[in-house]
Amino acid sequence: MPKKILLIHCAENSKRALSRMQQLGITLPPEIQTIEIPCNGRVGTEALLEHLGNGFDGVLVAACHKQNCRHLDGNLRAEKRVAGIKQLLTGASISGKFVDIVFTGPGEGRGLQQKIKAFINQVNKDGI
Amino acid sequence: MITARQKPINEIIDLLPDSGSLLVVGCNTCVTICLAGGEKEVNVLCSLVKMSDKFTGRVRGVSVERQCDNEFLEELEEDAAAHDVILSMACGVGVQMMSDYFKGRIVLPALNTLFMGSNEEAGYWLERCLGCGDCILDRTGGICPRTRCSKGLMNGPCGGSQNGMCEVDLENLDCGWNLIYNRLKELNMLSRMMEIQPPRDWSTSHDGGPRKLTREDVKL
Repeated sequence: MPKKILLIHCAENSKRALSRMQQLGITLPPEIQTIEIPCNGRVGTEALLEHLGNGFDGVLVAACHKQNCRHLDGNLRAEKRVAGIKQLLTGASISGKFVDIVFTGPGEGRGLQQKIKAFINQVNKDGI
Repeated sequence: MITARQKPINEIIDLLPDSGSLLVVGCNTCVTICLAGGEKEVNVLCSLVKMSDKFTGRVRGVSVERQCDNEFLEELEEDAAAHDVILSMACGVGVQMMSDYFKGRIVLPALNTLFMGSNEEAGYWLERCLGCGDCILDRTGGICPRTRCSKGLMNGPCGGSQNGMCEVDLENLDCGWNLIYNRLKELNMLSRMMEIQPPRDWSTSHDGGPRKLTREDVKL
């Protein structure tokens, strides 16, 4: 059974990178669901863990490159929270659940595709 | 307010039984403000416990206005009766109150209670009061030497104060008595510095068992 993955992306650079992927004819694998939020600064520990608890095997946050956040530091806040969640998952010895953050620019359709692919591989490889 | 910090998640998971039903109870007062045991933290902890490999039972999370008050524990009676173990995300007072109120239930602490302090900036809390039972803030410009001086000196500063910082941590810790000096100077009350304070009377502090406060005028 394919692993369920949630991709959370902001309405700025990462949304444009996803649009760029579409322009290049690249489609997301069917096991990936996406959620758009105004800025990744809104990514919260509570919500991410709820998604993981409600059936997703992995949650990937796609954020703007560092120093390129339209809202100044939303990507950095998200990075801290993702790091915190990783620590919590490790501390609680929770296996088979993954969370990560990747950074992208608006024109990096292929780059984002590679990063998403690497995350899917990690979830499928380590989450057996 | 009372500040607290969540215990490491592995310690909390280790406290739990392997199965059964667990009620996680948050407190909407002090520990919500210091981001340790409010509604959000309850939801985070519930998610982690549900996903953990160790605990396989049922988990429910709720929050009450104050766990240190029986009046607010009444609303938990139904939930408490339906669960085997209660994990309290309140300060030590709340945990003990829950333990007293729900006598047939095991009540476990999820937090380490720290101190009475203030929220200075985002993510930074500072101890302000020891609760010593004998306030001398009138003599020290509103800054507590027992709390703010690393050595709790009644007459300071000591010789370890350097450029306004305490020798215990020259980079991050203000000298409490330097703060008092500056405040008294602003208030034109520097003569207070020359008054010798007598040794501290610790009988009003944590001495002779738990302290009690009684008010005959409000007793029913």
